[in-house]
Amino acid sequence: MVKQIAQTHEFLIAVTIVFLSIVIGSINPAYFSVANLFDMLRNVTIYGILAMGTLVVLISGGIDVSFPAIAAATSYLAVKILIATGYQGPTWLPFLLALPFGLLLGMLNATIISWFRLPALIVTLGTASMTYGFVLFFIGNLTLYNLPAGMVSYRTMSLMTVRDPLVGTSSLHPSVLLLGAAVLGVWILLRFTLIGRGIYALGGNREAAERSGFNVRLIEYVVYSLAGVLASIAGVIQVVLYRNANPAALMGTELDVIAAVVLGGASITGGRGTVIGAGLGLILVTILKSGLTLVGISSEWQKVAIGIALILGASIPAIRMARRNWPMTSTLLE
Amino acid sequence: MSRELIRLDHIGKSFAGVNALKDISLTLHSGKIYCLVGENGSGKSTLIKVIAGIHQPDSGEIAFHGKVLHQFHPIEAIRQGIQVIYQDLSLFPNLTVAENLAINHLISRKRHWVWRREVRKIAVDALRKIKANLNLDARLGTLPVADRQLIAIARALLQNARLIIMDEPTTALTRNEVNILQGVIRNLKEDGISILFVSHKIDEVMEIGEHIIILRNGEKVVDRATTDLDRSSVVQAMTGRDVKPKGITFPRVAQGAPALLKVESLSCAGLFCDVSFELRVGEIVGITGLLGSGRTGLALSLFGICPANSGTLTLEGVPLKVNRIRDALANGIAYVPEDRLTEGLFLTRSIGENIAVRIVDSLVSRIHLLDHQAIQSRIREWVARLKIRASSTNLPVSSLSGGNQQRAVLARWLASNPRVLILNGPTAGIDVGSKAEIHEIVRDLAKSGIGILVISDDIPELLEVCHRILLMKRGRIAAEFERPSITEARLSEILVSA
Repeated sequence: MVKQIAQTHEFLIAVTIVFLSIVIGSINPAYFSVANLFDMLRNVTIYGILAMGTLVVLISGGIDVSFPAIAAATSYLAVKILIATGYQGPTWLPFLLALPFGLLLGMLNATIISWFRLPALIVTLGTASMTYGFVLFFIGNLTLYNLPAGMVSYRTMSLMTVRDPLVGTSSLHPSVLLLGAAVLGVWILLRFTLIGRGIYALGGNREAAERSGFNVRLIEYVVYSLAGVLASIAGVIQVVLYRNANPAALMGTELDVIAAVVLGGASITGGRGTVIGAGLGLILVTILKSGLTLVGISSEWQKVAIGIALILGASIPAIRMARRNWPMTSTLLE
Repeated sequence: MSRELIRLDHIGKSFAGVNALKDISLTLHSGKIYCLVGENGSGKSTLIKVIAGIHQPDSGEIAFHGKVLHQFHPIEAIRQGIQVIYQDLSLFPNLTVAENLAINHLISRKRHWVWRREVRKIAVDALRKIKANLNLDARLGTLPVADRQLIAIARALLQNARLIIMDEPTTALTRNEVNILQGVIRNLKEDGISILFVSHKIDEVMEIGEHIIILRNGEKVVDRATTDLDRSSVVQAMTGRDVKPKGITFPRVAQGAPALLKVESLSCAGLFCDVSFELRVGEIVGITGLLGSGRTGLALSLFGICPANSGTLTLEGVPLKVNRIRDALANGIAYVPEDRLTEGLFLTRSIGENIAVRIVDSLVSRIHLLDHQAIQSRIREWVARLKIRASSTNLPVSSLSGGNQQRAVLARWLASNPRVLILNGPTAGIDVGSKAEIHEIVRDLAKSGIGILVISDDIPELLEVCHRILLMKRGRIAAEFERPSITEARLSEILVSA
C-alpha cells in the first residue's frame, strides 16, 4: 500500500513541494508564516477554481481555452448590469448574475463540439475570441472601477486575521470557501458518481463509452457547462479581489492553468487526472511563483522554473513507463 | 432438446443497393457453440449487427425466445440476453479491472452514485463466473490482450447474457491463450449459454464449434454440425473455389545456395539468447514458438528495434552491426510487423502514400524536390505486381480489406528492394482466399533471390511456405526441421509440449 502511494505521480509532486518549501523557508523564514499561507491561498483561489473546470475537461479527452474569456465576459457583464441598475446590495447577486451566462457559454462550447464533432481546441479558441470581441463591442471596453458597494466591502471581509512580525497583517478571504466548494464538488463528481466514471471512460475510449450505454453527449454538456460555470465564479472573485472589472481580465492565463493541471498528472489526451494531483500541481506552480519572489529571484526566472517543472513533470511518468516495460512495450513483444 | 434462443426468418439487408445479406434464415439454440465463418465482406459483421439491433433488416423477421420483435434497438437486444464482444473489446484502458467489469452493470441499473465496495463486489462476482483470477486494482491498459478478453467475457455475463457473440476473438492471441479461451467457452456452454464464435481461422472453428454456419457473398451456404464437415469442405464453401494446398514442391536448390544472412550466438537480455542460424539466398525460413519464446524479440533485434547485446551478424559475408532501425534499412533488412493496423500502416493516408513512403526519398528531381511522376509509376507498378484491389490509390489505406492492406505493407517494403525480408504473422486476420495468394507472393519473392524469415504460430502456414522451420523455446532455438521431414501433427505436438 505504502509502496503504491510512493509510486504515484501525486506523491512525487508532493515531495517536490515539501523540498522546495524547506529550501525557500530556510532562506526566508517568512515563508513558513500563517500570513504567507493566507496570501498564497488568496492567490490560488481564482486559479484553483479555473483548474477544477480544466481538470474535468482534460479527463474527458477535451480541452477548453475559452474559460478566461468566459470569466472576464460574464463578470464584466454582471458588474455592468449592477452599475446600470444602481445596485448596492450584497455580493451574492453578481455571482448569481454571472453564473447563468457562464453556463450558457459552456453549453455553447458543448453544443458545437458535440453536435458537429469538431476538435475542442479549435472550437474553444473560436468561442473565446468571439466572446471577447462581443463584450468589447456590445458591452464596453473600459475597465470599471466604480464597483457596487457590496462588492467593495466583500473584498475587505475576512474569515480570520493574523498579525505576523515578519509579513504584517494578513487575512483569509471568504472566497477561499468557494474554492473549497469547487474542489469538493469536483472530487465527489469524479469519484462517486456514474457521470464522473463516464468522464474518465469517455477520455479513455470514446467508442467503448458509447457502446457501454453512456450518454456521451450529456457528459460533454456536463463537462463544458461545469467549466463555464466555474469560470464565471472565478471571474467575479477576480473582480472583487482586484477591485475592478476589466473585459480582458485573466486573458492569457489559460495556458498557465492547463500547465498546472497537466503538471499534476492529468493527461492532455484524456482519461487520466485527479483532483489531488491538479491541486498539487497548482500549489507547485504557486510556490514557484510566490516562493521564488520571497527568495528574491526575478519573475523572468520564475517563468523559466515553471517551464522546467512542467517538462520534467510530464517526462517523469513517461520515463518510468519506459523503464517498467524495458526493453519494449509488452504489446510489441508477441 | 435445448430451447430456441433466436430465430432469423428470411433476413435481407442492403447498403446503397449492395446486398449485404440475402434471405438468411437460421435458428440458434441455448447451450451450444456456433461458429460463423466467411471471408472478409461475406456479411458476417452485418449479420452480427442485425442480431445486436444496430442494423434494422430490410426484410424478414427476428424472434427472441419464440417472440418476434420488430424494429428493436441495441438495448432491447441486450435485454434479450444478446451480448456482442467486438474485436476491439470496448474496454477502458485507463480504468481499473474492477471498474471495467462493473461499469456496464451500473449503467444498465441506472445508478447515479458509484461506491468502490459495490464495484468490487460486482467485479468479484463477474470473475467468479468464468473462474478467472485477476488483480482487480490493476489498470486495464497494463494487462495482456488475453486477460482483457476474459474481462470482456465476464462483463458480458454480468448482463445475464444468453448468447455471447465474439467477433474474431483470437486474432491477437497466442496458441496457449486460445486454448484458455476455448476452455472458458466450453464452461459457458455447460451453464447453458450459447456462443456465436465469428472467425476465419478454420482450424479453430473445427476445434471449438459444434455447429458451423458459413456465409459467402451475403448468402448462407452451410449450416450444419461440425461433425458432418471437414476442413477442405469448409474452405471450399467459404471461398467458393478449391484452395487445396497445391502440394508445393520445395526446390532443394536452397540447400546449396550461398548464405545470405548468418546469425551467430546472438543474444539479447530478457528476450532470447545464443541464437544461431543461416538464411540462404532464395530460402524461406519459418520461426515458430509459444508466447515468450523470443520469436518476435529475435525479429525486432534483427531489425534494430531491440539491439542484441552480443553475437555476430554477417550479411553476404560482410560483418554487420544492427543497433538502430536505420542500420537494418541501410543493409536491406525489411520488417513487416504483425499488427499492420498499429505498427505497419499510416491508416488515414492514401494507399499510394503508404506504398511509396519507404522509397520516396530516392525519387527526387535534380534539385531535390519530389518527382511525382516517378512516384506514381512506382506505385502503379507495385499495385499491379501484388494485385492490390483498389479502385484508386488515392483512397485511404483503411478502406482496403485486410488482405489488401497486408499487400500494401508488403509492397512498401518490396519497393525498397530488400535483401532480407522478415514477415511477422504475415496472414494474421486475413481470410483463406487472400491467405493463399499472399503465400504465393511470398514463394515468388524467394524465387527472385530474397531471403525470407516468416514468424508465425500458424503451423499450416509455415508448412505451406517454408523450406526450413526453427522452433524457439524460452529464448533459444530448440529444434530445426527440414520441410519434407515434418508433418503438421508432429509440429503442433512439439510446439505445445513445453
